[in-house]
Amino acid sequence: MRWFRFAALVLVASLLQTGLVRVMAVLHPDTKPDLLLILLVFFALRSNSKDAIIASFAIGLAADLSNPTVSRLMGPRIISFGLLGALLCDLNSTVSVRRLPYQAIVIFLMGCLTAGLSCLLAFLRGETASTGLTAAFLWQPLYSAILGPFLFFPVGWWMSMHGKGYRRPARKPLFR
Amino acid sequence: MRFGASAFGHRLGPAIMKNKWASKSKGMLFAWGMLAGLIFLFLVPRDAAGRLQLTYARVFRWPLAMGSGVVRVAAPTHVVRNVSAKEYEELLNACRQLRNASANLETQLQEANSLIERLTKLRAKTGMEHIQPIPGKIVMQSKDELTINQGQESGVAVGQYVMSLTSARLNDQCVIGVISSVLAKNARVKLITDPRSKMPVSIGDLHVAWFLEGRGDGTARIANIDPKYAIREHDIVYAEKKRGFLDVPVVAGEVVQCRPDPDKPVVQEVTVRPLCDIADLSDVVVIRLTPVP
Repeated sequence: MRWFRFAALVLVASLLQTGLVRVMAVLHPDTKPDLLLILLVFFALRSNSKDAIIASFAIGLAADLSNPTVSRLMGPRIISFGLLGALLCDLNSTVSVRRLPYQAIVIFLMGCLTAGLSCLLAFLRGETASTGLTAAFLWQPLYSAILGPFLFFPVGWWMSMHGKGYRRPARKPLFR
Repeated sequence: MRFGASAFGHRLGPAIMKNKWASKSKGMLFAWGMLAGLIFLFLVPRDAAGRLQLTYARVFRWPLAMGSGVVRVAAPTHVVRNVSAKEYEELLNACRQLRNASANLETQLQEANSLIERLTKLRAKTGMEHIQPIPGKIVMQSKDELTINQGQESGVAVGQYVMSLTSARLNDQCVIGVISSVLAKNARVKLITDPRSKMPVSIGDLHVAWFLEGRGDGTARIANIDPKYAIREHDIVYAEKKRGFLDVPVVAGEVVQCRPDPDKPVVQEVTVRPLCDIADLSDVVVIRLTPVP
């Protein structure tokens, strides 16, 4: 894993998410793609377990800094991104997601689950999410799912991770 | 066989060890990540988290500002939307109501500014620095009595002097009467022309105290004046200082006529009329003294 490139990528994605992505909003200002969610799914599917865990928590931290679920509260996205990213990586070692439609479905499901977990954690702290629930649970994950698989190509090029999904390392034979 | 068994064990051992280390390392990483998240969520104070987010915004303010600029440029400047006739009518009515409300507010603002100007000029007069003027409006006017819209709740009390507050003669505010009774939100003013009114006054530069008594016909009189005092028409009559109510003499009226008292020709009688036209008055101010520090 090229960590410097990863850091630059996450930084650019968080800046774009805070600033420019509003240009892509459709119908409602909250209906915009979540670039950090797309990155989370990318690294969970394409990296090995350790790298995926680190990347998931790092992306969650960037999300909490730039686009928190609740203003002045950090932690919901760190936990939700980290936990679900690690789970996805583990699942991927069993069921490899390679085709674009399946990647889109995974992005949508991850979007709904991370939004739900973030809102639940914020609720445990006695806060309500700043964005509308319909946008957080439906429109934003849907928009991200439509856009995400296409963004995998430039991200894969930048990170030099061109594989069509993570492949289990070939088992070395025990006997020669 | 023993050789084969040991070779088997020798090859398998490092692989198992490597897997154990890898899974331990993964577990540790995950645990550390979750711990960090939980610390941020439950232990880091909201202020510290807010400062961290602000620091991020401050460090990257240039690219964020650039992004906001692009968003503003890309946003449509106006959106054309067709409305039905009913909607149009409703919007038009709402617009008219808002315009009326705006005009009313504008008028109220002008009135308030005018009141402030008058009160400021009043307090600027010598001896009036320690007054707490209570502006009021005349709600009812009878022959020799007024009712104003300030009462006990505003600090009005019986015996306080009431002055005119017209914008026409800003420097000629005069005493018109005293508070005779007080309710919660209203008070009655007994004018100086009321037959029951008896106000200590002086005339011109003469430092002699007399009593101004109302006649009930829109004028008042000062009786039992020694003929040695030369009093002329248009001499100013001042309401005298009264402890707790008035710190300095204030203009009350002017002399209309000075003649020998018809009932007692050895003394003079002066007819006084209020300096301002009470019939046209709408604003008054109740003089309330604040304790001198």
